[in-house]
Amino acid sequence: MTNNPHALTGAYLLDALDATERASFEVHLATCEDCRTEVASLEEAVVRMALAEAVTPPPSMHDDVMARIARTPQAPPSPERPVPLPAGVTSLAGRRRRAPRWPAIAAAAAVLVVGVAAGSTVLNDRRHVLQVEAAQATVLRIMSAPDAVSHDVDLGAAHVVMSAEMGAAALMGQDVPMPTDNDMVYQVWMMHSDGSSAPGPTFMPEHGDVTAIVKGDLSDVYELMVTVEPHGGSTVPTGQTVTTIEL
Amino acid sequence: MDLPSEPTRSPHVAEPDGEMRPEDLLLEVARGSDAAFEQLYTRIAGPIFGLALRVVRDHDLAQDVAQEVLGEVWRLAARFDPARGTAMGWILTMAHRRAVDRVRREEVRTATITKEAATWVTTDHDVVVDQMERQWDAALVRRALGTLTPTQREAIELAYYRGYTHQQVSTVLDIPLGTAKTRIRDGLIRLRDVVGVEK
Repeated sequence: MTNNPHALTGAYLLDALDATERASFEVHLATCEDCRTEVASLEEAVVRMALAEAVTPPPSMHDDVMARIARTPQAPPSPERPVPLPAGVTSLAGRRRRAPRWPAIAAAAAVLVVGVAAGSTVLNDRRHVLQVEAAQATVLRIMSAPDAVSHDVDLGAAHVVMSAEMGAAALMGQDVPMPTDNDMVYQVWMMHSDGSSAPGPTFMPEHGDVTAIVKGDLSDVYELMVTVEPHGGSTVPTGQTVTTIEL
Repeated sequence: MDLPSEPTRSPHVAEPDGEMRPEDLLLEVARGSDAAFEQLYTRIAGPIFGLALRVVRDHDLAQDVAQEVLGEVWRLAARFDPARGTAMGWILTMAHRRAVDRVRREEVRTATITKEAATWVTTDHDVVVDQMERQWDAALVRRALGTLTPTQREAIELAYYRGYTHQQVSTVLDIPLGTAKTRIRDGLIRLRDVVGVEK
């Protein structure tokens, strides 16, 4: 964990952060206007570096891609799109600032922390803003807890950071596939050594990004488990186990 | 050979007559237009493929990454928000991130980050390059990179072209983590200023 997040703008733009650092920096970006301004101002240089690498792809790629898109359904506009930046960052009404990329995680965190599937609930803006802030604050607190430990999660490129002292864990990741069954959501479970389980929040990937915050007594939890469950979640695991995270 | 219709330059350079801006094309793509996607393809396939190739350094893997990214551009077009940046920025960020993720996954499998980087090869694509397409940007970027201090350039190249994390940059260059962060950031600020002046 870095102690001066402001210095990370460059590493962020060059994707030189690991998943934990990126998630944490995006949380920081959501509340730091200076960093958002700097990231926006540096982006063009990075785009130039990319454009300079252009190479004509093999001709066969064109047909492959056109065939791919012919069978790929398009995602609707993102649910966070009409939602303004968190209060105190920018006025709720107007003034959209250039703030590339950070809102996905913030919005996901907000939706997930209340344990509803992304997109299934229309939250009013004010509530949403408060939830975004609460989720960001929680993620930061977990990450900076003295006893924070991180475990990889075999679900896309995800990991979980937990603090037993705080009684909280944050599951974060990218490239997480949607549950294979359209009607299902992911749900986290805390598995106790006596065989009992306690339900955690449900979550759904947002652009492939996920954030879920698990709260509870983790001292007797020997593993976290992710299953697929019906919308709204279950009180005991009923669906297929997606992955387990040994603690 | 599938010739691109014209050189892809900057998202900020005025488009020639009759050419739609990538932002506008994305808007059409979001409404399900195959034709707009075709047009966008000719503009972005080269940069996406080339960038992936530079990072993953394997032709088939790069093609794989490029196809995934182009599929994502189609799938997520409606999520592009012009208020947050340029279309090219959005697309190429997705491409770079995807390529870097692939490299890091491969690395975990083979655990290869060592000091070998001292001898890394900077130009290794012996594939057919569309000179027209990259000439202009390549020259500009080369000039801009040339104005960095050698240590800044080294840090930026390891991070951007090799997909190293700043932790790995600090290990490979044997410098403190804070120094790695600063070199990357200062180098990018310098690049921004040089590119900005030349525009």
